[in-house]
Amino acid sequence: MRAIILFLVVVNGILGVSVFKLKNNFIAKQTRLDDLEVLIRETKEAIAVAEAEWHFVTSPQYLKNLAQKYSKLKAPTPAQIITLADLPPVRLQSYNIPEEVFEAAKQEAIKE
Amino acid sequence: MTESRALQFPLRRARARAGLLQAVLIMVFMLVSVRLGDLMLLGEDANTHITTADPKALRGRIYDRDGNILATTITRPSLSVNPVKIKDPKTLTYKLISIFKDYEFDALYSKLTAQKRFTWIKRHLTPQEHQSILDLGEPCLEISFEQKRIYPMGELFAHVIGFTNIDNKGLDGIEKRAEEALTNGEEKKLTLSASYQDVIRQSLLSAIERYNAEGAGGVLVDVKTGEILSLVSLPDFNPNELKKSDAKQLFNTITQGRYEPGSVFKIATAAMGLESGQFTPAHMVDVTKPFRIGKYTIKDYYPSSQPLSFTDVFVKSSNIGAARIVKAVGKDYQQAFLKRLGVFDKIKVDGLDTVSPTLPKKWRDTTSTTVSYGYGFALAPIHLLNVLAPTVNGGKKVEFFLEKKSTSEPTQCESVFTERASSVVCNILQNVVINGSARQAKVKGYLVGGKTGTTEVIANKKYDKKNNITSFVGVFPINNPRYMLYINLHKPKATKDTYGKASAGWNAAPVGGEIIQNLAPLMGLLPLRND
Repeated sequence: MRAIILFLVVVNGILGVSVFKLKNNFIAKQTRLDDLEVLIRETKEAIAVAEAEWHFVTSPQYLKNLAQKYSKLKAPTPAQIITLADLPPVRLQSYNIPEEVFEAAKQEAIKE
Repeated sequence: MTESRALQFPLRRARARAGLLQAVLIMVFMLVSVRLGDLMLLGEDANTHITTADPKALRGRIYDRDGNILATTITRPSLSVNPVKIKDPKTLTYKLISIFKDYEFDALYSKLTAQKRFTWIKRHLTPQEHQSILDLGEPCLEISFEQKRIYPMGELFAHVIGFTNIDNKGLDGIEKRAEEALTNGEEKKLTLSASYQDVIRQSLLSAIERYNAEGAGGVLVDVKTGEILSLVSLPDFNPNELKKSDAKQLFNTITQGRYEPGSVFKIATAAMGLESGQFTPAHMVDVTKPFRIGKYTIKDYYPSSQPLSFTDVFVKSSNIGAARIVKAVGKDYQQAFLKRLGVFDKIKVDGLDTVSPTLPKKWRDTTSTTVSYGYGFALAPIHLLNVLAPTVNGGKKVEFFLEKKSTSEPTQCESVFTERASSVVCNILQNVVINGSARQAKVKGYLVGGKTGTTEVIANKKYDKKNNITSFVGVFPINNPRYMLYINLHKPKATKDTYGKASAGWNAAPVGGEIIQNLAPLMGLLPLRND
């Protein structure tokens, strides 16, 4: 009987130490997880602010004001819009593109 | 012997007790061992799992058709205080006033001395204010983080998106209509485009300035699919600075304003005449004499001494001609036709608060006549556009919508009249732009059709002859109608450039033309090579 009790005490001792270590491990990981969750939330918030700012600075109104202030760019007029077929012929020899390759690419682009 | 027998009984009892105690101890140890083994080998108990509080889902974003953010949510610090804990409220008031310049001393001091355990000082602090508060190092001040709704495009989509209150509850527009979905973090993608919206808004703002108008509105729709591509109502407001707006700015004239459509409604009369089979484009209509109905006499703004063709009735925008057409087809046919177009039903558009039309109580002969040229009833501009869309899209009744559909399936549309009649209407509208009242809506490089309308403003139940609402309905490209544009100007004034005139042909039509000229290239519409 003594042997059984001794055996159980030893087993319980080993298990107790193991559980203690496990618990410590768990708490450390939980803390790390909480830190990561906070970091993710903060990063998400920072991204949300950055995205909002990005869409503000790229809004048509804002860009138009900047274009008017710092450049002479204006919206294109219908007369400035042409199709690929309207483009003047390119000097193919300066790019070493065979004429048939160029024509095929041009026809494909027109189709698109 | 007797003594030994006497001792045996207590000994046996003691052994039995010791055995029982040992058994209990073994059981306890075994239970502890099983539990320890369970904890270590089979993982943690579900009841002991530590969970971190899931932060409340951020209110969903709203995007335009190109993925631009129209409304988003960020977290901002808010400042509160427990007045009971403040030791020196006067000094703290001075300190806080140096940070919050818009606060008055008395107002803040009374907050800090209130008999409460909690009071807000300021919600949604700016980063500078937040830092200044942290620098103060006052232990009685409390910072908490809250969601704040922001609108990166400012005024551009104000009337469609609407706004929320400080607690992020939707109070108007999409914010209100999609409250539940947005609160649950769902995102909304709209059919509107920031580029188109900006083009229309800028043109209307310039028009208000140029013609000294009180307001303006514009809608652009795809008549094939029913997508609303742009919706502008001016004056508008900045949803980021709602406190600076007044009631007039908050009113969406396009969805909630009711106006008599005026001559733009002749588009429907033209479609009705053609659909009845009683008229062809070349059919002659007598407009030489005023049209009398009961005690009323209908006259034309520019009287004609000769009969006009059916097409020219609309090119010249003849009220007499429109009245004669409706007289020929009959008021019952007219009523049934307008019912098919949806004039009598309240328009429903997901995400928009719309209003019912104002209709005459009885459909008399006079009613029938005035309706033919757009008087005697009133409807919201978005409703008007929905009614007119079938006249140019092949006779299909389309439902307008604002939220982008996830599938690319074509919308099922009910056919309300023939494709042939619709095609002739387009031809008439093109003639109106080439030779008629909408000449100033011509756009170099694009085929445009359109119709103008000028209605007198109703003030004190009377028509105010000095003030008009001018409007223009444009369709482009008219050889393959895809887009329909409606714009209106509220009380535009005559200018030197308009030779003293304030009718739609002189203000709404050129503005419409300017908008189409700027929109068409953006929409990828190639201009004609030979204009």
